[in-house]
Parts: sequence; C-alpha cells; structure tokens
Amino acid sequence: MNGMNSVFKMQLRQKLTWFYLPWAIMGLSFLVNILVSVLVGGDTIYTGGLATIFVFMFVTALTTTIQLFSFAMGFSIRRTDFFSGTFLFILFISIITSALLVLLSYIEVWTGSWGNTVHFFHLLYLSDGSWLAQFVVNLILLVTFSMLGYGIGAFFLRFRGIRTFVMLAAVMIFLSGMSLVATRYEWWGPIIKWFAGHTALGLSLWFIPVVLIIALCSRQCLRKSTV
Amino acid sequence: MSQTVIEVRNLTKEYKDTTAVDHVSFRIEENKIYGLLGRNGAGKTTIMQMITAQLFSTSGEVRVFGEHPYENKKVIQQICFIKEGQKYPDLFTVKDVMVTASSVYPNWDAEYAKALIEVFRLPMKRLIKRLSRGMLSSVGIIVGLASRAPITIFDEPYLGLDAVARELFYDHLIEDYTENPRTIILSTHLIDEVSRLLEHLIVIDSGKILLDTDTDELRGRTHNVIGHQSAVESFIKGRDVIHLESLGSTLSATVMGRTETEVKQAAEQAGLETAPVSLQQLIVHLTKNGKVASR
Repeated sequence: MNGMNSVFKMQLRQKLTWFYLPWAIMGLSFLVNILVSVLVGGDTIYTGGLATIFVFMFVTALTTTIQLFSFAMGFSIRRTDFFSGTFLFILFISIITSALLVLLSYIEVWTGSWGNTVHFFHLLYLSDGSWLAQFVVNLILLVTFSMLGYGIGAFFLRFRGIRTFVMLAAVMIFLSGMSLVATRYEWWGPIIKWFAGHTALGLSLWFIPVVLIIALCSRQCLRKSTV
Repeated sequence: MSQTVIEVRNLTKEYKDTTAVDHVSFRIEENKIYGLLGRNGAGKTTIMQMITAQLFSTSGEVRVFGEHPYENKKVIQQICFIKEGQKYPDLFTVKDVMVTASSVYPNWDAEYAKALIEVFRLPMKRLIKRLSRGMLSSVGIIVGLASRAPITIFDEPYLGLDAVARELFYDHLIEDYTENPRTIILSTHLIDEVSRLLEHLIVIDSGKILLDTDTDELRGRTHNVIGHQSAVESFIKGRDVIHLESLGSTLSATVMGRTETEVKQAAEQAGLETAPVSLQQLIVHLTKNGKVASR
C-alpha cells in the first residue's frame, strides 16, 4: 500500500500540469472566444476549446510517466506500485475534471450559452443525456486519453527511443491503411451511420476494454523497465 | 561472524559489445562501512543497480537479506540507494523530495533531516532543477543519512561539493553510524578522504574484483620498502610487487605480503626501510596495472 500511496502523492505534486495549466489555458481560450463573439456580434460560436483538456491529459500522462519512473525507482518504489499508483491517480484526476466539466456544461445551458456567445462546454451529441451520462462520457474519454499517454510512456521506458518511434509509425501506417481501405470499399457511410445510431455514452463504453488492454500492456512494460 | 546482508554470486552484466560486470562474487556483512572503489566505468554503479533491482543481470545471483530484490517491497524498502545521476521531477522542490523520502523509508527521521538541511544550508522551497550541482549532491546525502535504511548506498555522492561540505558529510556519517549502526556502501574516487571511514574494501576494475579485503589488514600487508637498488631488488624477488619507483640508486617498492606483518618484519631484518602506503596510492597502482592476482 505504502509504495502506491507514495506514487499517488508524487503525481499529486505535479498538479500544476495535471490540473492548473490545462484549466488556465482552456479558461483563456474560453475568454478569447467570448470576446471574439461579442466583438463580431454574430451567431453563437461553436468552438473546439474543450479538446485542450484531453490533449493535456495525454501529454501530461506521457511526460510524468517518463519523469517520475526513474525518480520512483531511485526512491525504492516497486514497479508494480508505480503502475497502480499512477493508474489510480489518473482515475482520480479524471473524476474531478469530469465533474467540473459537467458543472460548467450545466452553467452554460443555464446562462443560455453565456448570453448567446459561445458553445464551449455543452456540445451537441457529446453532451446529450443526463448529468450522469455526461459525467461518464467525460470520465471515460479523459481516462482513455491519459492511458494512451501513459501507455506510450511505459513503452518508451521499456524499449527506448527508436523502437517507440517505430511502434508509433507502425500504428500510424496501420490506421492510414485502414482508412484507405475504408474509402476504397466505401465503408465510411455505414461507419458514420453506426456512430450516429449510438449515443455518446454507448460509444464511450467501448473504450473501457481499450483502457484495460492499455493498462495491462503498460504494467507489463513497466515491470521490465530499467532506469 | 556477523550476518551477511548482501550476497552476490557470479553476477554478470553484458551489453551488446561489452561486459560491464564479469562474474563478480562477494558478500556484504551487516553494520560495516564498505568502500566500493574503482576507476570510471569499472562497473561499480552497474553492480549497485543490480543489487537494488534497477537493472537486470545477464546471469548470476543477487540475494539481499536472503531474498531476491526484484519487486520485493520488503527488501527494497530496506535499501536507500543514492546515486550521482538521480533524476528528480521538474516540479519538485527540496521539500517535496523530503516528503517523498519520508513516505518511502520506514526508518526516516524527519528531525534529523531538518537538522541536516540547516547544516548543508539547503533552501527548502527551491525547485530541485534550480539547485547548484553541490546543493543537488547535498539533497542526496541528506536523504541517504536521514533514511536510516539498514543498507545505505552512496554512489559518488558528492559531485560539486566543496571540501567543507564533504567534511561535514563524513562527520555526520560517522556520528550517525555510531549511534545507528547500519550497512553503508560508499563508492568514490576520493579514496584518501574516506579511507579513515572504510572498514572493508572491494576494488573493481574492468568489471572484475581485484581486491576484497579488510582495510586494516590491507594496510598491514602492504608496505613501501625503500633502500639501495640491489638490496631492494633481491628483497622483492618472489614477492608480490605492486609498484616500483627509483630515484638515483634508491629503489622504492610497494610490496604486498601474505600476512599482516610479514613484509615489514622481513624488510627490517634485511636492513631496509619501510613506509606505510596510502590507500589511494595503492588503489591507483592496483587499478593502473589491472593485475588480478590471488589476493
């Protein structure tokens, strides 16, 4: 318990990049959008500013994994404790972030999109459903993005630079290949239809097994990593 | 016979084109201060990283308190390994490091850490990455001392530290060791500075063990024998000579005997002068020649 606890606390000490920085940048983007909307004075703007938080989760998970692992190893912490402490922390910070996002989404609806200026936190499709559904969708997405970063970080710690690059390149090539195939056989229509046929909540549930697989692979990588 | 806390058998670490550690075997006993000495790249850090399970060995065995250290919380929490290249997270302050250490090491003494921080004049609130090289070394030293871990390893702990701070470190080490005995392994280049602390020496060169001996015994066995060239030359015949130096017709030979008093007595009988050898000179001569004899 105590090693895992220490790792959790170590991550907590990084709250600047896990929490304050992404919220500050997103807040800034929010204010700029409102300002622009007021100045232009046209319709209510749709923005993608919300993406900031997800990108930040990805990047922070990646960098803190790499930074904290060798530090934790130097401070007599087991690899498995490092894995579970970080995993728990990702869940924890995602729960808080998700709750805040739901709250802001409700405020946005309540204020009539901040006086008909921007749609920032309450988006079509993504924000459908009850507060609980919104919370779960946010939570799963935040955890997925963080785990992607965590997974790449763990892979890097295990296999180092060149092989990580090759792995990422291979994934990219595979995905581009698949999208080419989809275009060639005209699968996009049915794919989009399938997406539209499901709620954001129903879709997000598909990410749970993805997260679990990444978690398992990260754990295996970390157990074989050296400083 | 005191208890063995670390046992290393035939430990080997191979990289693609080099063998960093080559079939090394030794034991570390409880509550003693060990010196792990050798030149840069001799394999000291690699050995210590394998003892703490930070690195995996190619072959051979490591036992710490009779168990394998890998993912073994019971074992690794008993070890505090301070290494020169320890990385710290960018956002950590000195205080954050101390808080982390206090949550990790079961025997952590917060009062002692606080006192040491004052002695070494460390700014608690400063980010680690803004510390000078010497201050960074002090952080490691404080963690190592205040952890009171049953096995404490200092690997080149004082890069950039001035002579005053190094003296402070030695004094505190000895003082705290006397009050709270534990096993300490010190790896360093500054051999003469620490020679008064070390009870046992393990000298490593090119991944192999050159010497594994008690410091006092080694001092007793080794002497500089000085005299006229011909007399010294006939004296050293058949003996283990580590180093030779001549000045005019005078020859000085560093000789290692089989037992503690043998060389000194024999030399005096032969009418030759003897002088003690500094540990640093001895290690330099040994590792320069790279001689592996049956010492």
